[in-house]
Parts: sequence; structure tokens; C-alpha cells
Amino acid sequence: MIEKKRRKPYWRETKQLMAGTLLLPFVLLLALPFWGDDLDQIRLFGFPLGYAIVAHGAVILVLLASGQFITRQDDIDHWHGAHDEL
Amino acid sequence: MSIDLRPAAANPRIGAYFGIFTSAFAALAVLMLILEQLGDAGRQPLVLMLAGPIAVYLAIGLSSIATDPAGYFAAGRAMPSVSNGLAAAMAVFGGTGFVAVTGAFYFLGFDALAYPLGICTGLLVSSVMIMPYVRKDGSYTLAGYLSRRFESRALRSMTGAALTVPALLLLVAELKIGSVVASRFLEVSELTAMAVLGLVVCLCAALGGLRGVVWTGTAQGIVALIGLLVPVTALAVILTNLPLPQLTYGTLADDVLRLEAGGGLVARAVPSVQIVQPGTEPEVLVKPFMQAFGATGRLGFLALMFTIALGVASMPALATRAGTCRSVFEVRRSMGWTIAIACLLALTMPAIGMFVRFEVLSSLAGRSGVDPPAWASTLARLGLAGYDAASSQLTAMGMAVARDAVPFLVSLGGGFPETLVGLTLAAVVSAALAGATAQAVALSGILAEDVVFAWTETGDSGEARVATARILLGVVVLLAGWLALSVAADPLTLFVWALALAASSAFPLLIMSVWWKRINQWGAIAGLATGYGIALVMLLAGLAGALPSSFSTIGAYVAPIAVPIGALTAAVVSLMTPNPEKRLLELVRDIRVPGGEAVYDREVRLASIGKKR
Repeated sequence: MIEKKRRKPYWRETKQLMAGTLLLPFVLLLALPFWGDDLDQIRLFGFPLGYAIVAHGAVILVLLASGQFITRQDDIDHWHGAHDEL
Repeated sequence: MSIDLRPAAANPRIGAYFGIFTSAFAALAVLMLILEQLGDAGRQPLVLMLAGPIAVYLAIGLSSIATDPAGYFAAGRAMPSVSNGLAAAMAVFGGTGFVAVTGAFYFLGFDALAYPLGICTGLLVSSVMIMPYVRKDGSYTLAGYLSRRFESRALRSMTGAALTVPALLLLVAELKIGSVVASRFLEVSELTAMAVLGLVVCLCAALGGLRGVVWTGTAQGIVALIGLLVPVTALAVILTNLPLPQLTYGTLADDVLRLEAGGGLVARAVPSVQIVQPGTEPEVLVKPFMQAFGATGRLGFLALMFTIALGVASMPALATRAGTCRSVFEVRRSMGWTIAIACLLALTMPAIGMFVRFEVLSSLAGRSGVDPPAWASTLARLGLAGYDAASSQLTAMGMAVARDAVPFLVSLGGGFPETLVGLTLAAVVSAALAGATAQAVALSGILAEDVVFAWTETGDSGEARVATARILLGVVVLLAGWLALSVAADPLTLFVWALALAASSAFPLLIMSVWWKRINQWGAIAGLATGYGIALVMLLAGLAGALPSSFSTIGAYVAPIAVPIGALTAAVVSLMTPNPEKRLLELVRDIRVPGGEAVYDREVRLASIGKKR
């Protein structure tokens, strides 16, 4: 069980991780549709680069963001003793 | 004395069971392939590939039995994360995501990326910001969570009533797409297909509730993934020499571009707010595959992605999955699996769209309306393709294909054995069944917990709640089946509408209830009412034709307007009314920490101790 005085630092680190996880995918998804097609002159394995970044890059970024979130949040939990003893 | 409060671990042999199921399904497919090579097997491969898995789903559903509310509404909090994640991915995509979104890629190419990207983002937001905290609270439904968080029964009834509509729309969409596809390919009436689907849904979920949903959903997910991936991988080997369609379809880009130009398909600019979505009837191609924003404009793309992301994050059928995991960490892992599967689908669907477009366009060369390619005459007989039988040369602009036939075109267009068509049919029907079962259980759970028993004390009348949920399950499946048969609505449109409504009502509250302590029940009620009201007015105005057509067609602009306004209302009203009480702040602090017993479970335990005294 978590100690009372650890709650604040625990939540601060959790908030930072949340922001860090979501920021990059959000920026990419919001920005790329708008100038992604300018990159289409460059080809990557036959794909126009702008298309590849949206169709492959964004998806893989979401996957990586999810993976690092799970491991790092678990580290934070254990560091502050907030984890569930199962 | 210490009592072990931890839920028992799920069956440790469950991985082996599903391994056996997967092998049996593969063996069935191989057997059918052999039979087909031996001679004219007729329709048998198609029927058996579908009937085999469905018999197993029924066996699984009927053998997963729940007796108490914790078993029925939360699967005993004992589901392993892989199963739970796979079943949740199936619930989110469902038949609509499998068939209609894949079909949209054939027509729209780049512009259809808004759907899978929206789903992936929504799942990520949910896994980071919502699901772990809903699990720590431990309520069985979203409305139950909000009412516990704000100590407001009124909010519970309101949220329950508000979320009934999107859950019903999603259930109708799933039943509709499953029954339409099955009835076309098996050449039975839509009523028959619907009756069978509805019956399977009820039998899979009535005894076990969410337990049945997760175990059958796992089996359905396995069949759905195999059926989607195997044909397109085989086609990728033929067309690009590598069994990785997700990465190799770019090598066809130049060929497809040449075929498109030859067929008269050229890039053109469209209004930024326009959203194009293929309907259920056969349609011709509208834009080159790789061109960005050739049908759906930039703003429309963002709005659609936004709506789907927020809608998925607040989908009732997804949120109920939080409770089925053993701990908060398991919820995060389970969501990780869901995201991984969603990403795999998001990478595969464009490949299917591209390959099918290449097959369709390249097969038209030198063929006339009297002598069409084999797939075209097959699909035209089923009412899934249309072309001018009198034309001397079939062209891209003269070949209309139904959106829902696109996944089948991988096998049909490639001239693959009938068994592979059956594999895709099994995948589509399984995905629709998984989606429909999940939505039906979520909907009947909302009705039972948040409408009928909204005012019962926590932990009371357990058997009555489960019995009511079972009866309501039958009622909602009947109602949704009748609606799906009688209303001519496109499942993909219903999907977007439902997500828009779910996002507008629940999303701001779900986020703020965890991440902003100052929000109080008045703010929550005001935010819910405002967001839902705006969404409903916009959708109805769109239906009545009062808004410009690009706004009304699919309602993707509802959430981008209603969600910020709802969130702002909730914030302003909260700041104008008194601070939340001290014990609610303590509750939020409790929810934010993963360790320890779930809040709801603790309340149930304390209530039962109180009763014994």
C-alpha cells in the first residue's frame, strides 16, 4: 500500500508519463494530414513518403507509445509502492 | 485472520485450449481445401467453414456460466490479459470495422485511414487516461463508475439513458452487417441469417455474461484474424513475392497509378469539410488510391478521426472490459494487446484495399460486358457488383463493386479456392458476432444496472440483477434485430453516429473525473446534458436535412463541436458551485493509485459484513 506522502510525487510522475505518451502521437496525427502530401515526391519501398508516415509511421508510433507506457508506468508504480501485490 | 480477497487466477490451461481450437480450425480449412480439390464440392466449404466455428462458439458460450453479479458483469475479475485484449479489439472493430472499413480502403485509399487511426488513437487515450482508473473503481458500467465518483444517482440514470442509444446503434450495426454478408454469400434470406445470428449471440452471452463475451470473443478473434490475414498474405506472395502485405503493397503503387490513369481516375481537389463514405450499394471508384484528401477533405479527415478516437475511448462495451482484469496492471497489459491487434488491422486493411484495387483494375483489360471476369459475374449474381452487360470494354468507371464485398475479393479476384472465400466469410461473421455479443451484453448491462436497478444499494439483490440482465439481453437482441431488418441504415454510418454520441456524452466526464479533482456533480450533470443535447440536436437536424449536406451525411462533425462545449460547461459549472466534499476527494486519490482493493468490491464486502451483523 502506498504511503500518504508518496501520493503527490507518484501522481506527478504519472501525469508526466501520460503527457509524454500522448504528445507525440497527437502532434503527428494533427500535423501530418496537413503537410504530409508535400513529402509524396520521396518514395520509400514504393510508398510515397507522406502516405507511409501516416499509414505506417503513425500506427507504429501508437504501438510504441503504448508499449513504453505499460513498462514505465509499472516502474513508477513499483518505485512508489503503489503497485498491486498480486 | 486474513481473508484472501484476490480473485482466483483464470484457468492456466486456457492458452492450450485456444491453441487446440486454432489447430482444429486450421485443420478444418485444410480438409475443405482437399475435398475441394477432389471434385466439385459445391457450397459445402462455405457452409462448413462457418458452421464449424459457430458450433465451438456455442459450446464455449454455454459452458462459461456465471452465477453472481461479479461473475456476470465482471467475469469474476479473472480474465487473462491476452484473451481480454483480443476480445476487446473484436468488440471495438466488430463486423463493421472488419468489412466496412476494409471496403472503404478500396474506394478511398488514403482517406480511409481516418477510421483505423482513429480507433488506434482512441484505444491509446483510453488505456492511458481512462481504463486503469475505471478498473480501480471497479464498477460494472460506465454510469456506475460516474455515479460512484460523483455520489449522484441522478447522474447514473442520466448517463445510463444517454449511453443506451449509442450501444443500441452499435448493436444494430453489428447484427446488420453480419446478417447482410452471411445472407448474400450463403444465399439465404436476411431474416434467416438474422435469426441465427441473434440466437447465437443470446446463447453465447446469456449464461456467462461478460465471461461468455471474453471467452467466445477470444475464439471469434482468432478466426477473424486468420480469415483476414491468410488470404491477403497468400495474395501478397503471388503479387509481391513476400508474405508481408502490410509492407509490400507499396511496390504495386506505380502499377495501380497507371491502371487508374488508364481508367480515367485522376486526382482532384475537394472542399476541405467534405466527408465521403462508401455506402452499401455497389459503387464505382472515386479517386486514386495514394492521393491524399481526394474524396474526404483535410478538415473532414481530422473531424472523422477525432470522432472515432473519442468515441472508442468512451464506448460502453470497451469500458466494461476494465472490470474483467485481475488488477490495474493487467488492464494496462490487456489494453496493450488490444492496441497491438488494432495496429495490425490498421496496417493490413490498406494492403487489402490496394491489392483488391489492383486485381479489379487489372482484370478488366480486354474484357467485355458479355465476358466479364469470373469474380464480377459471381458478385453480380449475388447483387454485390454492377456493370453494363452491353459494353464492349469494361472500364474502371463502369465497374461498380459493393463495399461489403471487398474483403471477399481478395480470394475471388485472385481465383483462390472456395474454401478461402469461406475463411473470409467465417472471419466476417465471427467479427460481427463478437461485436454484437459485446454490444448486447454492454447494452443489457446498462439497462439492468443503470436504469432498472439504479437506486438499489450496492451489493443488494444480486440474483435479481443477473436475471434481469439476462432477460434484457434477449429483449435488446430482438429489438436490435427487428430494427436492423426494418430500417435501411448503413452500418458504417450507424457506427460513426454511435461513436459521436458516446463521445459527446461520456468522454469529457471520463477524463475530468480522473484528471481534475475540482469537478463536482453539478458540473458533471451540466456537461453531460449539454454535450449530449448538442449531439442529439445536430444528428436530428442532419437527418431532417437542415444542415449542409457535408455536415449531415455521417455526423462526424458532432463530436468535435459537442465534446469541447460539454467539457467547458462541466468546468464552468463546477467552478461556480461548491467544492466537492472531502470524502469524494479521498475517493479520487484512491482511484488514482493502482494498489489495493477495488472501491466497488470494498463497498460490496463492507455491505455484506454489515448485513451479517
